[in-house]
Amino acid sequence: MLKKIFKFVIGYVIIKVTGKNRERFINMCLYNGLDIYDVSPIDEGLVFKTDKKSFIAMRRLVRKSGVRLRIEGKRGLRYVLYRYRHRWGFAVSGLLVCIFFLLLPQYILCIEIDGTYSADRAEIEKVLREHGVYIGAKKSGIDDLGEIKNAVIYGVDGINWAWLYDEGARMRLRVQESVPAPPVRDKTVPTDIIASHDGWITRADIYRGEGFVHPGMAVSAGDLLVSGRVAVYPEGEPEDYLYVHSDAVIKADTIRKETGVFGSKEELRIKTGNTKHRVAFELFGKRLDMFLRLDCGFGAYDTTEHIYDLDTPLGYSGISCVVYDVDEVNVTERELEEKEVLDRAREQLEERICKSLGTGAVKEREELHFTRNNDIYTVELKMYLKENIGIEVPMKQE
Amino acid sequence: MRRFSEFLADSMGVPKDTVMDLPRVSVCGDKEIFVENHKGLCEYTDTDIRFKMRDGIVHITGSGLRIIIMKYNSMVINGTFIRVEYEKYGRNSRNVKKNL
Repeated sequence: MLKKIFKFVIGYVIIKVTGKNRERFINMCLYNGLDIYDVSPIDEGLVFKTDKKSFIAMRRLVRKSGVRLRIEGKRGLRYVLYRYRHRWGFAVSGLLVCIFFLLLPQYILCIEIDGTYSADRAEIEKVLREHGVYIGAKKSGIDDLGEIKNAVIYGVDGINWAWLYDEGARMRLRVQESVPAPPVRDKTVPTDIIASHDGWITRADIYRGEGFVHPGMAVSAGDLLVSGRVAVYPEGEPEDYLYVHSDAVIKADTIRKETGVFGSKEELRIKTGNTKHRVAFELFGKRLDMFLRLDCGFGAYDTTEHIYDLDTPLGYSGISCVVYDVDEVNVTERELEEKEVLDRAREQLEERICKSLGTGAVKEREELHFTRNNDIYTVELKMYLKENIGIEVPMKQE
Repeated sequence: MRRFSEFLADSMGVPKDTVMDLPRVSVCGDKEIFVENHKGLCEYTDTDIRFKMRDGIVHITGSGLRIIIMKYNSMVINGTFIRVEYEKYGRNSRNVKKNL
């Protein structure tokens, strides 16, 4: 590849040799040390490439061997430059473009902050600005990247670590947010344990507090299971109570139900093969669409976005090209079989139930009931579980 | 002289192509041939290339043959090769055929 580039820069001549002794001519060229390459046969003779100097030296060999030479073409930078030697506008505009692309990465033209979910972006941007990182800032004026990174880590709440990348005209800050530790339960606060859900108690291990449940008992949601108010007086003595932080594991058999309505048709989007492309440019963080309508006149369509960054040897230039592949689709509906509908319904309803469960719940079995009205299925999922239904609530002070 | 150079190459363990001026033909599959110590081109078409060596001719047949690099004593040929033949000069010449 490098050799090809070198040859293009130097320039080469494509020559056609015709005549009886063309092989002899080639041999004479080689004997005289002339550089020829890419020799290929054609109908009437041979075609090869050589440089200008060798071509001039070939003239005397032509007379000796009795062949005819014909220049088929001239390729290379020197010939291109020679052709456009009077067109100064090309050279000047080319030079300006080069200067433009060399200058762009010297400035911050866009700032990307990745990984923020709960952290305050405005606060991060403020910290960056304090250290000279803002859109339009000259990169020579900003602080050391390590220093900025530390400022973000220590100056913004909820950030565990940060990485700051200098990518030419783009500054990219990636942050790792810290996950807060679960709050430590204050075991000095008196609490009761109540039932989170209806169920039949199968096991009650009470470690602290006064129990009001026993295995085999049915409870409703909100019922008091364990009280933090423990009586500590003998019969006949004045009432005295000890208030404790209740601690117990209350296992119960519960039933969870979820109902949903599901259609029996599925939408299919099949590509017709008609694809059009729409182009937009991102100039220094601002989107510039090169089209009026994205739909390309298609009734239904899907789009795929591809972003191509224009990088210079010094980094990102601040210019990106965004290409949208707009595919026309035929939207059709497919009739689902009953089994397919119920499988999908079961999956969704199970997910909904599982979201409402606490830790340590075990599924025993489940039942699925449905009614069908034309194309509409009303599905009820009943899940039989063994779970810990006791939840701590602050005790009401009397 | 020839016998002496052969003897020298055998006894000293020197490659024969350097001492005896023999051609060295390196074949890479059926796609590329690298030839050293050739003495000039005899025939060059799309399907046949014949080049001289010290005491014979090497004949390469195939399709889409193309000389990519050509120097005074070496060349690189691309294409799809079928056969490389070695034709010796002289009355009692014998052909050594190498089917690819």
